[in-house]
Amino acid sequence: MATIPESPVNDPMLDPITGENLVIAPGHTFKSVTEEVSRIVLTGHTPLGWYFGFALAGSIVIMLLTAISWLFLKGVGIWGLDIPVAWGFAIINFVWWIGIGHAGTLISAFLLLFKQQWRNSINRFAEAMTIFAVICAALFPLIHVGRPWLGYWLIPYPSTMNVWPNFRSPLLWDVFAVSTYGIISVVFWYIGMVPDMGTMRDRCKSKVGQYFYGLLSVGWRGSVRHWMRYESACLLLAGLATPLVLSVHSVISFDFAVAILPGWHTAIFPPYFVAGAIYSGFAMVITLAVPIRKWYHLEDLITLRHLDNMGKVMLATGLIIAYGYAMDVFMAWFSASRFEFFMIWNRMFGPIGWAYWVLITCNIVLPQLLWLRKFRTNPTLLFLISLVINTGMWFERFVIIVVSLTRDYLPSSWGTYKATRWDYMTLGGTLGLFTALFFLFVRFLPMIPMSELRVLLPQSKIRRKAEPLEAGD
Amino acid sequence: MAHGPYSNSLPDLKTPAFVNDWRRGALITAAIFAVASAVLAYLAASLQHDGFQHLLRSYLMGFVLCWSFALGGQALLMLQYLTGGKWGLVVRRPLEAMARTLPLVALLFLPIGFCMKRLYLWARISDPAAAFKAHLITHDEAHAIAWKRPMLGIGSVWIQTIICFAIWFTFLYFMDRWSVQRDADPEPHVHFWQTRFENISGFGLVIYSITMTVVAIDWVMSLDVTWYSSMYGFLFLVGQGYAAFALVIYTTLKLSKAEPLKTVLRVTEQHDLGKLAFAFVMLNIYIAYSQFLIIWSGNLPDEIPWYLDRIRGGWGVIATLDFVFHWLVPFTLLLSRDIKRNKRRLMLVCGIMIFARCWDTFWLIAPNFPDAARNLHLSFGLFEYVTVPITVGAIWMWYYFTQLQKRPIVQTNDPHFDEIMEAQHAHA
Amino acid sequence: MPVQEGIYGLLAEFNTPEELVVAAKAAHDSGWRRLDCYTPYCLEEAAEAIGFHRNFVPLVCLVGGLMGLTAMFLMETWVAVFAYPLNVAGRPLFSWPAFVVPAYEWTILWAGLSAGFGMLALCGLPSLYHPLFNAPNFRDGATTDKFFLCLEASDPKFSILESRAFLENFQPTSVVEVEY
Repeated sequence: MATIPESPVNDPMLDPITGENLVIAPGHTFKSVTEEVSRIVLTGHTPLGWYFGFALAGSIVIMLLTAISWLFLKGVGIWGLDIPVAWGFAIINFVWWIGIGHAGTLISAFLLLFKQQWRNSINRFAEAMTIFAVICAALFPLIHVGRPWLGYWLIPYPSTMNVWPNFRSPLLWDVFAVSTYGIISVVFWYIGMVPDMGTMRDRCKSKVGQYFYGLLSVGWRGSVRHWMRYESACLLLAGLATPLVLSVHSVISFDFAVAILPGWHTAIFPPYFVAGAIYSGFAMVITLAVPIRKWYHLEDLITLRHLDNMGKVMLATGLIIAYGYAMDVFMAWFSASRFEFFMIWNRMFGPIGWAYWVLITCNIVLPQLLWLRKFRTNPTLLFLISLVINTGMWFERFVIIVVSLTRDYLPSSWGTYKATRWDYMTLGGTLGLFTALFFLFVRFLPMIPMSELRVLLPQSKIRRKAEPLEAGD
Repeated sequence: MAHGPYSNSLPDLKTPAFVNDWRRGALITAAIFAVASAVLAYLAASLQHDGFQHLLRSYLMGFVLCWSFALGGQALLMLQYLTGGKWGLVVRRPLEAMARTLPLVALLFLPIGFCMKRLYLWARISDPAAAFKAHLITHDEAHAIAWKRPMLGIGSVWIQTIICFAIWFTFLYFMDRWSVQRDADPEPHVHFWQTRFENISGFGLVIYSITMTVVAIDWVMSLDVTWYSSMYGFLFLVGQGYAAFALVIYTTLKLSKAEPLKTVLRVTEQHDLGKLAFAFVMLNIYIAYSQFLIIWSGNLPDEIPWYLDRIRGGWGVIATLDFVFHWLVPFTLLLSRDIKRNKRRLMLVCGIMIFARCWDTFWLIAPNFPDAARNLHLSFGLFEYVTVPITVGAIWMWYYFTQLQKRPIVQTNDPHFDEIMEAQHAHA
Repeated sequence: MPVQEGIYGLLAEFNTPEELVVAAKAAHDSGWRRLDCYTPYCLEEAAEAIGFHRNFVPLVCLVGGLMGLTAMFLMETWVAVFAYPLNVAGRPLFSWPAFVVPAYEWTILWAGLSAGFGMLALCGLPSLYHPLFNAPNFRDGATTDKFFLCLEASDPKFSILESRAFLENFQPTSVVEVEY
């Protein structure tokens, strides 16, 4: 080894020791990070772009409301559903949305457990993304049941009909999994926000704002006794949310795997669904983070390190689902079962075979570019790849659900599927709903946890000897 | 700000001397249990007319366990390079030692490779159609053997095994070489080494999961020629991580009785290791339970017999205890923060985890054979599943400890090295 | 609750966490027990300094989780075996492998709710009014960048002059009296 190329260490955004990108730009103080985040919310001047974006998203929500109203008037027949394909867009979208939500929980929970401090600046909006995605997801089964006003029948309660739900059905497991997920996500998000609400209350100039944030802060005053309990609660919630994420998408995979349809009944579904969910979720975090950090000038707080790490996570989870696809194909042969074999053949070369190749291209082929550091640290390229992955993951669910249903065991029950305009309007509408909710969040709540940013600063650590600080207050 | 040179006044980083005693202990154990196995095999053959069949089956069990430790160690090493974290520095050298036992594992494969016909139905039956006509096998078995021939044939399995070992040796060679070079490097060159290890580990893990799945199917799953599960490779992957991680924590804790690990292994890192062990415990039950639930719910005739073979006829006790050892006990214990931070107790938990892995391997392998499926009965042969794996395992341990002695026990050229060598500061 | 009047305590303001921890430790060592530190982020050392080592949130969470587990598993068993026995694809009435899933979800639900709301309850929150909010410098900095130590009047050692002198030893930015 004659020469070893050494990395340039002059860049202030690089750690001088490890040569990695920093989690937070140097030179910040407790006050400056607080101000950087809270100014976005506390400013009296709402940017024009915000109004424009919110109006656009709002009009898409109106389209969603139209589609749903028409659905309630006419019934699910307006969608492309038929026998044998009784699960169409609604279930695809449900699985897609809930998968997107999972990255949020994972960033806030899993990375907290493993002390990955780079998560601190992105966890709040990732968690918000989770909640909005769960809202969009939960909408679909609800409107899909046909008579949504009877939705409470899903809950086990002593009714006069003496009828109880069937606890052996994965569809009922879904009810508990998704509701638990929604509730715990909201609790985790809110508990995580309480100290920041205190900061907002103290920094807010308007009376209305003081009341609003004051109520939400439940009187937080930063006592260290409270902080210790608070940290315990956050760690516990993180410890609970991590297995919860695994279980929620596993339960969703059971919706398919517990049935005996070829293409659905396979043991690898739970981990491979979970990996797929995290994959698309991280893609969505990037889709949101790249424009936000640009528009709100948050390059100091959401650094290239975050993008790089998220790119790596996407690469890893993408490879896990590649393993899942490979096992699907391999086991179709190894099982020596003609039904399994036909299932894969039909998936690749059947009437809707093109969808399979779209998903392979989007999920497996193109994301291999993430092996290159250049692609992981370039916001624009990463943003484009994230869009590709989100598309690919939607197609994955399409292939699993629709393609398998169109070709059952018996050729006499084969069919086809064609989505209608109402299907597309509902899918597009939830995108609008998600965006609109996100606009509200960005405007009214601090999107980066200030109390956790302070911990990232070097002056937050207790030093043994009283040395003078390098970065002055 | 200024970061001192890493090798300023190096403390003694040699492996403690008592590892020599461990080696001797391992050899003595191997000798005793080899004798016991021989006696048991003789008794089984002469008194119970069982032949020597259990000897080979239990040997397979021992081999699979050693392979799990060696390859699991290598995979964890790669995982550790990829994720970073200070805990990695503490366990890196023991993991490397585990990975370096691969030559022994390759050697241990030979008896299985040469006796495939005695273990695997697909190796014994050369003409499935004729065997079916002679009522030796069922129609499903005949179809499966004929269909899977490209993968499951004696020559084919040999080729797959050799290719997989060749790949693992390649990775082992480079990772080991670079690790030594990194220690010898007078300059830190952190970025250079980190990138280098990250790159090989990234590719390595991908290759590892593929090769591991292939041989897990060849060596273990194909004992039941008709059954298949797409989860199987994953199950083995997580199981290997589970076993190797428990062993590496156990070794590190045991080594920390003396310097240098006494200083290096701080409570914080030990706590992190405990948490990771907990993650493996959860992941393992998750995978195992999902597979069970899906197959139980589907209740299809080509899948469910695998579980019935392992639950009925007394095997239910083994299965239940498997669940208890594998999940219930470690889970309950590792929930506690105090246990994770106490050396002796964490060692106990890791011991249970290693034992559980052996128990589980027994449950995976033994019921595959027609005389044992749905029929767990007391015989001399049954005890061979205790003595033979212990013999093989002890030989492996001896080699592992030998490898452990070959290098300094802590890697010196690492950005966390200075911090980790400061004695127990600020960690109450 | 009767209206409380008089002094709640003495509040010292510091600029750095080090100064706060030194002062808090000294106060605790010299026998102060009714005292508290206020910081803009979780400062474990300060909690250690005032002798707060163990909290009960994990216990509350564990109990909640066990309750959720038991409640759901018993309900499933009762519904499937006794209240509404139904043959579904030949599966046994007591289908425990299937019952594990909702029981697991409820374990997490109850444990999570217990942890979140149990933490607030143990902290005595919500309490929208607190005497400390009367101190203007506290409202300005406690949740942003300042570190506070409050010696409370309910401690038997409290005396306005001596306590103030004690706090002044540590060169705080300011020491103010906090009224109810």
